This record gives sequence, C-alpha cells and structure tokens, in this order.
Amino acid sequence: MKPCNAKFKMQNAHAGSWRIVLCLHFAFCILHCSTIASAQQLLDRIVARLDGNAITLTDVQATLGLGVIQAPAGADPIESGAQQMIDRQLLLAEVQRFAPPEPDAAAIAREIARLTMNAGARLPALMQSTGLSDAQIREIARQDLRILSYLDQRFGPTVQVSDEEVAQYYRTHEADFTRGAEPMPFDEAEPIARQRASDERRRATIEQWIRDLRTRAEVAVNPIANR
Amino acid sequence: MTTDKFEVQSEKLKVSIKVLFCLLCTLHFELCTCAYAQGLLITDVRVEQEGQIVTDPLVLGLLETAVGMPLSIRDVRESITHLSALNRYEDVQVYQEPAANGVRLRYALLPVHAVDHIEFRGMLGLPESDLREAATARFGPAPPAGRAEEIVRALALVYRDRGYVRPRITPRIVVTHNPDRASMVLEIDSGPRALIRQIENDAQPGDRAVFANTGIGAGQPYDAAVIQAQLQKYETMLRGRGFYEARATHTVGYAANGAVVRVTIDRGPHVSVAFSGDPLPDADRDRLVPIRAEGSADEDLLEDSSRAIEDYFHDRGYRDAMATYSREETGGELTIRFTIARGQRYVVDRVSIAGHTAVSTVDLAPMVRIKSGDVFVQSTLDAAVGGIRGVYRGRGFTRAMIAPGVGLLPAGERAAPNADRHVQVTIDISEGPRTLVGTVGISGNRVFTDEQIRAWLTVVPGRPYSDIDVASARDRFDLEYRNRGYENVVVEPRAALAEGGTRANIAFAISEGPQVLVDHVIIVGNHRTNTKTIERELTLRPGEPLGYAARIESQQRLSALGLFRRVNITELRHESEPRRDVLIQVEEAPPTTISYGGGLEGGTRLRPIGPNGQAEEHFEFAPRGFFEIGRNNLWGKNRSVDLFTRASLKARDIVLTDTGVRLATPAAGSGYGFNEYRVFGTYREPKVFNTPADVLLTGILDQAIRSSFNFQTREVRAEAGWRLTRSYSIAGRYSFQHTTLFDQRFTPDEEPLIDRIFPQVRLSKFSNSMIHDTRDDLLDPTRGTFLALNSDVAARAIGSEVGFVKTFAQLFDYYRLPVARRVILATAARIGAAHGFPRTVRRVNAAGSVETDVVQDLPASERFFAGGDTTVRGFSLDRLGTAKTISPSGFPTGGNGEVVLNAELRVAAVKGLTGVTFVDAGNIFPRASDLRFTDLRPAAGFGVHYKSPVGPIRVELGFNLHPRELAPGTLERRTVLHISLGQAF
Repeated sequence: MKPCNAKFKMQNAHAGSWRIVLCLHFAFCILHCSTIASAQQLLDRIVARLDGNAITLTDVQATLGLGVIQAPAGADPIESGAQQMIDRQLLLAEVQRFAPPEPDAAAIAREIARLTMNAGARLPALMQSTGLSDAQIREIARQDLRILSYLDQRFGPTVQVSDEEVAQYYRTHEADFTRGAEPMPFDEAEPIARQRASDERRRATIEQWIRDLRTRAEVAVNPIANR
Repeated sequence: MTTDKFEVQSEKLKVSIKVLFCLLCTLHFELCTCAYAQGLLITDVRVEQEGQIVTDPLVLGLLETAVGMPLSIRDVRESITHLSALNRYEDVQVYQEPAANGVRLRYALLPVHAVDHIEFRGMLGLPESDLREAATARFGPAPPAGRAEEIVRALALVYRDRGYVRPRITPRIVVTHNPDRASMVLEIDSGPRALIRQIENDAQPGDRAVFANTGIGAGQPYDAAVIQAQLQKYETMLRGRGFYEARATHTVGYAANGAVVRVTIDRGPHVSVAFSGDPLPDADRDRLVPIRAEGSADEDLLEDSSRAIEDYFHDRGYRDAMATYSREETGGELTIRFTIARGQRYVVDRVSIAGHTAVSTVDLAPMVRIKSGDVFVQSTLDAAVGGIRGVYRGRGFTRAMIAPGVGLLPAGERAAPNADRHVQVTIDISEGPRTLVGTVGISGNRVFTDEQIRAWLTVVPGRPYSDIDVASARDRFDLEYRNRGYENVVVEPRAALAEGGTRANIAFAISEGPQVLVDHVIIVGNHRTNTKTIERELTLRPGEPLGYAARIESQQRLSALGLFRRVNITELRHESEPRRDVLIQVEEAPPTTISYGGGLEGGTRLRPIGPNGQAEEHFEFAPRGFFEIGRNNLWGKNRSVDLFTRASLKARDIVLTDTGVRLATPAAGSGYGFNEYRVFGTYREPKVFNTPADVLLTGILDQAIRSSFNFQTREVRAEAGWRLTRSYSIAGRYSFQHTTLFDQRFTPDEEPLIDRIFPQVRLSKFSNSMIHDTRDDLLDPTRGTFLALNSDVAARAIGSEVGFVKTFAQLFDYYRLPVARRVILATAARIGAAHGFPRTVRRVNAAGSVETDVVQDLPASERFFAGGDTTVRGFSLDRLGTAKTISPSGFPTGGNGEVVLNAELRVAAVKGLTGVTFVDAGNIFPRASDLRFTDLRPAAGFGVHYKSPVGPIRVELGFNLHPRELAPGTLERRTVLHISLGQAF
C-alpha cells in the first residue's frame, strides 16, 4: 500500500500542485485583468504647491529614490517626501536669492556618484518610472551642493556652544557616551559631546529658519489618499 | 525508498511551484509596469475638469503629450508643471488606460476653489464686523483655504481678549462651481462671556480711580481692548504731566465665577530737564533734547540727545564741545541734567595742501570746502580727506596717504580767555607709487570669448588701476551673463600688486553656471486682449535664454501698451531642470475711459478799440473745459479710438471806446460764447502691417480766437510714427485742411494780400518730424532734453491752393543744479523758417477790371506768431514782430521767420510751490532771410508755480524791458500777467 499510497500521494501532490499553480495563474490573470479592467493607472500628479510652483509625485519619488530626502520609519514616504520637498524648494529659493559660489565639476561628479550609489541597482527603473534624466540627476547634485554651501555660508559649518551647554548635552545623552559597556567620563566624552551639541544646535537653528520661511510662503499640500 | 523518492520529487515540485510563483509574480509585475513603461504610443489624450471635457486651446496647448507620440513620464510631468502655472488647478492628475496599440491618457484637472469670502455663523457673541476685521487684517479678505486653522487660532485669541474663554470655532470650506469658488464658513459658539469679578489695583492711592466713570468695573463683561485703551489714556495723561517713565498695564486671570483683573500703574518719578554749563539756545533745546515730544526718558534717547548737543556745537566751531547728562533723583523727582562744556571756538586761519604732484591743486580744491575765516568743523575736514583719497584712488594711487592736521596758532597776549582760537589746517599728501594695470586675465569663460569680454572692459593694461573700474567691469560681466540666462554667474576679480606696487595684475575668474532657458510662455488674465498682441511685445521667447534685460524690457513694453492695470512676470521652475516657464499675468484696464475737466485761463490779448480799431492790450479771463472719451483695445488688438473736445468761453470780438466803454453795437455774432473750440477724433492702429509703425487717422474741427483774426479749420490727417529707440522717434504725416479766416482786425489796406485773396484756403501738405526726448517727466521735467525738428511741404501739385515749405526746430533742456534745494535750470530755443512758392492770381478788383497778383506768402494759419505765456512772456499774445510784421493799427500779421529763446530758474519752495524767474527773448521776421539775433526783443519776469495733479498751475508776471509803440500814441504794456496750466516749455 505504501508504494501505491506513495504514488497516489505523489500523483495527488502533482495534481494538487498543478491545481495550485493553475489557481495562482488564474488569480494573477484575474488580478492583472482587473488592474487593466480598472482601466486607469495614475502616472503623476501634483502633491504640493509652493508659491505657485508644483511639486509632482514623480519629483518626490525621484528624490526619494536618489536618497536626497529620506522618509522616516513608519511615515508615508510620499506624504513625508512632499513635506521635505517643500523645505528643499524653500531652501533653493533662498539659495537663488543669495547665490553661493558655483560648485566645481569634480564636486558635482562626486555628488552624482553618491546619488547613483544611493539608488543602486534600482536606478534604471527609477529613471524610467520617474522620467529622470542624467541631466536632471546632475542638476539635483548641483543643487545639493549649493544648498550645503549656502547653509555653511549662512549658519557656519559649526556653531559655538558654551561649556554649560556641552555639559547639559552630556547629562541628557549620557547613555550615548559609553566605551564597551562602561559609561565614558565627561572629560573624555567632552569633544564628542561638544561636536554633537553643536550639530544639534545648528540643525535646530536651520529647522527654525525653514519653519519661518514656510510661514512667509504659500504652501498647499494635496491629500494623497488617491495617488 | 519510494517515500524518499516521493519526498524528493515532492521537494522538487515545491521548488518548481516556487519558481513558477516567482515567474508569475515577475510576469505580473512586468505586465503592470510595462504599461507604466515609457515608449508605448499615445492613442488618445483627454482633458477633463470635474467631469467636463476641456477644449480651451490655452490648456490643450500646454500639454507635452500628444497622440502618436511615445509615452514619456517626463512629458507628463512637464505638462503638469505647465498646467499648474496657470494657477487655476490645485491638482492635475494624469492617468493612463490601456488601449489597442498603445495607451490613452486622461488629465483630470481639479480647479482651485479660491475662497472669495468668509462667513461667520452661529452664536458669535461679538459683532461680526469685529471678527471680520480681525481675520482680514491678518489674512486678507480672501484667505487661502489652507490657512483656516491659523484663522481659527487668531479668532480664539480675539475671543479670549474679549472675555470669551472657551469659544468653539469650526472652519469649513464650502465649494461652489461655475465659477469655481469657495466660502470659508466659520461655525462659532462663543460660549459664555466672563464678567469682571474683581479689579485688583497695584497703584498709588492717587491712581486707583483710573476706571472712574468709564463703565469698567466688577460685574461688567471683561474686554481687554477697552481696559487697555483706558490704561493707555491714563498713561498718556501721566506722561503729559512729566511722568515720562509711567507704565500702566493689566493682566487677567479667569476663574469659575469670573475674571480677576489686576491693574499695575507705576508712575515712576516726575521728570524734569535742566541745563547747566555753557548756554544752549532755548529755541534749540526741545529739538536737540526731545524728551517732552517723545514722552520718554530712556537711556537711548538721553545718549542721542547728548550727541545731538555735541554735534550742534561742533558744527559751530566748538570742536572740543562735550555734553554729559546725569540723573538726579530726590523724593520722587528725577532731574535729567545736561552739562555743556563747549570749550573755545576755533576759526580757520589758513588751509594748505602739500605733497601733491600728480594731481593739481585745481583738481583738489572742489574737495576741500574749508576756507580762511570759516569756523573749524572736523566733519568737513574728514569729508575733504575722503574726497581727496577718492581722487587719488581713481587715478591709480592705491597707497596714497592723506594726513590731515590741525595746528593751533598762538593766541595773542591780550586775548580774552574765551576768545576764538585760530587754527591752521594742513592736508599732507603722500602719493606713493602710481599703480598701472599690468595684465588682465580672464578665466572660466565659455560662453563669451576673451575678445568679447575685453571689449566691455575699461580696465586695460597701461591705464591707472582703480578699484571702482574693476568693480564696474565685474558688474558689466555679471549683467551680460545674466542677459544670456546665466543667473548663477559669479565673477570674482582679484588684483595682485607687483613691481613695488606700480603694477596691478588683474584676474577675473568667471563661474558661469548653467544657462536658464525659457520653456513655455504662458499668458493669463487677458480676456479682451488678443494673445498675439501681448506676444508681440514680449522679448522672452520659448527656447531662448531667460535674460534679465529681456524680462525688464517685456514688462516695460507690456505696461506701455496702456491696456493693463497690472502686469506681472514670474518664472516657474521645473524641478531639477534649468528651464523655466514664464508666466505673464495681466489685469486688463477698463476699455472705455472718460475724462473731463475745467479751468480758468488768464492772459493779455490785443483788442481793437475806438473808431479806428487800433490795438490795445487787455487782460482777460477765459473759462475753459474739456471732455474726452476713448475706447481702447478694439478687437483685442490694441487699436483705439478717442474723441477729445475742448471749448473756451471767450469774447469773439470786444470793441471798446477810448474810455473803455464797450460799443453798443459790436460786430454781428460777436460777444461771449464758446467761440474757441477744438474737436479731435483719432483712430490708432498700432504696429500696422506688422511693422514697428503706429498709424493715426485724425479728424479735426478747430476754431481759434487770435489777436489779429479768428479762424476755423477742418482737417483730416494720416500719420505714421516709429519709435526708433527709447528716446528717438520719427513720424511722417499727410494732412488735408480747409481754413476760413474771419473777424480780421486789419483795415483792408493793412491786410496781407494772401489773406485778402484766400480768406478761405485749402492746404494739402506732407510733414515729417524727428524727436529726441530724454525728459524724466513730460508735464514737469527736472532733467533731460527735448529736441524736435518738423518740416512741412504744401504744393499745388498735391491739391493745395498755395505752396510753401516750412521748418521749425525746438530744443528744450532741463538741468538740476547740484544744490540741496531742488533748483532746475530750464532753457529753450525755438527757430522757425518758412518760404512760400510764388503763385500768380487773377482777380476782379472793385472797379471791375481784372488784376494779376503774385502771392508768395504763407496763409495766416501757417505763419509764425510769438508773444504770450509760452513764448516771450513780457508780451501779450502774438504781439511780437518787427515793424514789417505789425500793422499800423498795432495788430501782428505774422511772419516767415521766428526766433524764441528762454532761460528759466525753477526753485522749489514749500508745499508744491515753486518760485520762478525767467529771461525770454524773441521776435517774428517777415522773411526767413531776415532772421537777426540782434533784433530779438527781451523780456524778464518772475512767477509762482503750483504743482497740481494735472500739471503745474502758473501765475507769471512778465516785464517788457524795452516797450515800443503799440499803436499810434500808445506804448506797449510794461507788465503782462499770465495765468495758465502747464510749463511754458
């Protein structure tokens, strides 16, 4: 019985498997047909408008794909991306008003390499699905560098923080300063704490400045439910 | 074994299924994405707005995706960007649908429903007008829907300040269609209003009655604005009484049973100001120490006052003057005491400049505004040093040192202790080496060649080096690049000194950045105006650089059309692309314009008096009015029609006796009436046949009262004008006119032959003119030049009854003198010359026989006349002329030659008034060949101009410097009064 059973089971298994395959096939066909039958597929749309300038879905997808902006974990990438694109456009408008020196070709090439590395193997698909061209990637790289240069020019590469602020930073982030499992004494952690406190202050200053820019701009974000 | 085999086969099957599953997934993904993939042909493009198909060519013209083209996401995004630029859509969604042999595209346009009003509903608690004012003051009458939450927060604060602690405000946007609009509805439940339960007063006993008789008190509704207004009033009262540091504020705390208001009034000390030390004139005290005017005694104000007192004395030669202040507080009385030690006054004894060899004393003198006998002012010396340094820098002396010195001269033995001290001012110049430009290098330029760039340079090898020239060169490069669309160009000049500072090698490093091109030009807001009419004026074109100059030029040209109230040109960026859409937003002006007005003209005219009809000068007022109606932008192509009418109430002829009594029977039809009028109808066709020329067709009906005759003219005219540059224009004109003379004041013997033969004359003439105009204001220029050359040719061959050639040139120049007050020197020169073509005329005389006359004069309407408010102001209207152009009875006949020269000084006074003094000269000559500058008749005078919105109103009195006999036994007037509108020239 065993062989028979085994054969039977094998035949059954064959038949079941093919039924599964066929079912899957039909399911995919139905799904595919329904996709086609539902007829329409969104190609692009306006996700936000800043002072009359449109920010499109593909703009957000392209910059996300290149790693120019990153969606925080758990956030809707497009919704979060649209907000970051608004900030980026506000920054670029300021850069345009008080233009920093033009970045040199080598720096742009390095930035392009960084962006394309961020996209990795997905780059051709990204370029196809968002209509991104090499020239646009180059322009995005240029804009990145100009923004960085502008921020350095305006806010300085570092911000001076007082000893008290460094100590305060160390106290509130004590768990971050360890060597092995041991807490690092303040004297030893002081340079790192100073750098981090400085970075944090600079970031906060820039964020506040961008918030202020927003209040002076006409910003409209479209609901993204039906994208 | 079999089981094992089965299990192996089963495993293989599972793997196969997995592989197949993956393949199917991949296949499905590919099927899904293949439609997304670019390259499929577009078979249909549909544009919908809220379910309706859109056929607007403006919208469809902005789509980059077209039937038959391969689908490109980039084109789709471009289309969205263009459509977004219209500012009509809050969202544009593009869908694709599979279709046979390709894809169908559907654009869904979601229109912007702009909020056009705010509605307040529910239990408002406060007057709606208060809420509306609070909302619109900050957000405008039509706020964006996205700011609803901010409006709610702002209104909540308003409610809280008025005692409503917990208002409920819910915003809602109600959308309406056709047209697409929205209302912002604010549903409000104000909740209960807090009553004042208690007022706690933290003030001196004398200030506790601050709310007496104001209605503010326990049991009344709390209203922060009312309380604050009363406290402010009280504070102002205290400050007015000398308590300049008084403060009155309040806070509120809400509790279950009402609001507790806590008022704090701190009077501060009573403040008085005292001066000690050297005296400060009473008249200047309040100006220099404005404590009373400001109602404040804060430290900044006191420091400023101290500095102002010191400056006051420094400017008067007390260079060591010091003013300090102190606060002395005793028993609630604060005395602010300014102690002044002005020291001695210093007077300049002599000024010397030494060490200058490369620059002459003559060139330096204008910089040094110090002279012997002046009081010594340090700031004047500093300005002189700065000026000299600038002169040297401009000539290449980059290391020039200018050292001022002030040497105190010994006082006389018997000099009083406070006597003036004399100083010697020296300016020692150490010129240093002169720096010449060595080499000029240019790098980083790809767009322009070195030769092109060098052509713009004023910095060239061998010339003196100047920072200013280098900065100018940098600005020029920058502008040229920006005009080519390189908006991010950076030009960095660097100068390296060499050879001991005698050579400056200059390098310009150019970083060009990307070129920005115009993608689409999108024109919106033109409902009546043809888009082509706008496009014709634009110098920004698709595919061309987005240049700075082109943008300015486009804006100016559109504004100059006169069709729009507002023209706004904005650039719309394409994400990460150096291309921009240019959005031209226009707001059209009303097509019909109506204007009207009235006024009073006063001038001196010649009138016939007595039985012999001799001329006498009389000042006359003439009311006048005008009405104009125009229709612009006909058929959307900037064509226009205009009808202008003007009439003056004037006596056609007044005949007075020697004693000034009007004759009982004046000439038939004479007397007051609208005897002077002008009707002017114009049709304008701009850019005719796509040329730069504007064509004007004009019909004129004109009747004028002149000194020697009256005339009526009917004329039609065609004129083509070209504006060559901003300041140059030319025009060609043909006119056909018929003129009738009447009411001639001449006796038959005096009347010119041509007027006797042709009391009615038909003229057909060609004219041309060239104008150069750089005036800054047409009505009341302060600088610039106006030059106009006109010439006319009339000939029998083209239908004229008489032939002539006539030229008239006028040059006006306006120059603002470099003085503090606005002083304009205006000068004018006008010269006219004409020559009539001879014509033989046969006529029947009184005796009935035929006579043959040869006439070579110009008809009266074409001859030159001068004298009056716009020419030579010491004479009445048309009075000027040599003996041959004045009839024995004193009336001018006009002539073929004219010269008028004017010079006028216009000095701005106060409140729109300008004082004027002038010198005029001019004359009329019978022939062009008789023109003699030695025969000009002079006049001078003065007057007052008032700057009104329609131009200066002039009242001027002219003096005839050499009066001659007007008519037998009568001299010309010595003074002539003019009242009129507009400048003389």
